[in-house]
Amino acid sequence: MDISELTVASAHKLLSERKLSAPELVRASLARIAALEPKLHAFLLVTREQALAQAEAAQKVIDSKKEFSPLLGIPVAHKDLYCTKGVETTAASGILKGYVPPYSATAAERLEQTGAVLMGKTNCDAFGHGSSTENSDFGPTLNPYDLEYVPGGSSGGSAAAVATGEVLFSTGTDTGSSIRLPAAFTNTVGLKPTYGRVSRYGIIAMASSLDCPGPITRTVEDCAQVLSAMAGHDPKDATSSRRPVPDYPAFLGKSIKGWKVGVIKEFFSQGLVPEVGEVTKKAIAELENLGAEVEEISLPSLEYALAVYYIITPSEISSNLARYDGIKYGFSVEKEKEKIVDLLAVYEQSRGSGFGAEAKRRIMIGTYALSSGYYEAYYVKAQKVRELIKRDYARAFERYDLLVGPVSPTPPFKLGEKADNPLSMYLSDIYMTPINLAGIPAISVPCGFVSGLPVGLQIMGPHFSEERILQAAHAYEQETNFYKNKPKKLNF
Amino acid sequence: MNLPLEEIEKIAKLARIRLTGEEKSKMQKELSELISYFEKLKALDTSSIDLHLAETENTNRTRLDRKEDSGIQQKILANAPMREDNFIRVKSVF
Repeated sequence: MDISELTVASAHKLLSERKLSAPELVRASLARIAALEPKLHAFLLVTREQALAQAEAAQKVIDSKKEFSPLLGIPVAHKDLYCTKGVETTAASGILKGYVPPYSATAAERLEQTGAVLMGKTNCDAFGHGSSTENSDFGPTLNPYDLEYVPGGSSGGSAAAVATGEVLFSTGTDTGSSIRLPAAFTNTVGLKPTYGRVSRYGIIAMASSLDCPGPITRTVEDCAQVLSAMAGHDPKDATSSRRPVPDYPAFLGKSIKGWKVGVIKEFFSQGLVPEVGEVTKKAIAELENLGAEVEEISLPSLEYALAVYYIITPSEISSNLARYDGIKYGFSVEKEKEKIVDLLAVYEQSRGSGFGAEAKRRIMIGTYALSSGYYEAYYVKAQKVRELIKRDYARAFERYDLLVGPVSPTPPFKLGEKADNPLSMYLSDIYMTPINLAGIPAISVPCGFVSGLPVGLQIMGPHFSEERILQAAHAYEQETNFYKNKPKKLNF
Repeated sequence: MNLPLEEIEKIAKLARIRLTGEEKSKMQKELSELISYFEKLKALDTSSIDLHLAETENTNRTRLDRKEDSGIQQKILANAPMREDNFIRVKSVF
């Protein structure tokens, strides 16, 4: 049995038919992880003993009942921003090394309740700050399609783990691209749900008005299944929506004939690598073959979205990261130096030494944008422009069922290529941050390759239209089958 | 044009982060580049936007002010860098 050939759906079938046992599946996952990790570095922590115990428990359920959850016994990995009770959670930052949460994120708990088996915690840019997983304080994850390239970020570890079959699904968070970009860069499916669709409780916070936990999977069908398990109101998250959760898998396999699809003109401007543009246009043409009516639409406020995002996000980051102060948990200079003079020194030096460069940079920008004298000109102005962006999307969705465009202006880039220029790294997010600012859902679905490196198609919908997005993504996927491609160069 | 060093030091103080000399120089340059990029927002007319009227489907929710035992007090304390009995120990505030 080759685990890299399996999906959540096909594994569930094998488990149901007793052709495979949960312990066998989990052992295969562990073996795969052991074989690939020395090169890939998708994981920060592998929960071997716990996984084997969970597998045994899952098999007992399978043996005793006729029907069981589609996720029972299935190997999963969580991005290390998800608090997992009793399991070290670091946010891939040195400032949280050794931190063991006393509770689990609601999203993680819901997946645990389905009987999915936790294989470990995946690598990411520290605190989610980044688009390449190079900002992890514990070393980058590599792109399984070419080890000299980045897997995207910030959920790079989660994406690489699914792309290589180390696990059958994983979780990520998307604040400005961080599920969609690594999915696009690794030929996997990544969904950023509507803000409020999935509880943020227990997810280490980056930007509280933007963070969206969501699934990364091999196929759209799997994505629908995992989203169903993760989504729903949580009384512990005051921003979580009370709207009922549709039966997402039930929408798959239906036609998209007659659907009105808008192609965002501003996404096809300068900065887009021509080959990526061609692959994306081909994908859009495929949607037309499937019966969609495609038209170009202009959303002029999108040009300002990146500037808005890089004011609002660091501002919220500077607030959220204030809690890492060397007092309650995490790295503290108090443990290391006897002669720390005063409380202020504990704060300043714990944070100065514990945080990585990108975290410090973002805290500094945020503090600046929120400080007296600048608050109106930057933060308030950015929030107002954000309203303009939301209105542009609302107007667009009066006319169109869905909007489409590229995920990224470039194919995966090389490790180190953007390291010296923060602004150039931030520009990777240019087609994705408007979506986060508006709070709308969007998916990245595999749509081809440029020089052997994966490219994703971005499909966006109005608030709480995940079923519509999944239906379209599924129709496209079943026509093109890009998900069947697997990384070859690692010689697995 | 780089941000003045005093500005960086003032922000670092507000942010409670100690930066090395090298980090401060780097910040001067990087923050300046980003702030220049933000200037493009000035071109937009946002006079019609009233943020207080922004829509949201959520309303404020409250719960009863009732004491509950979380059951995880010791687990919380176990993460504290400096601990004394059931207290987290800190340097004097004054």
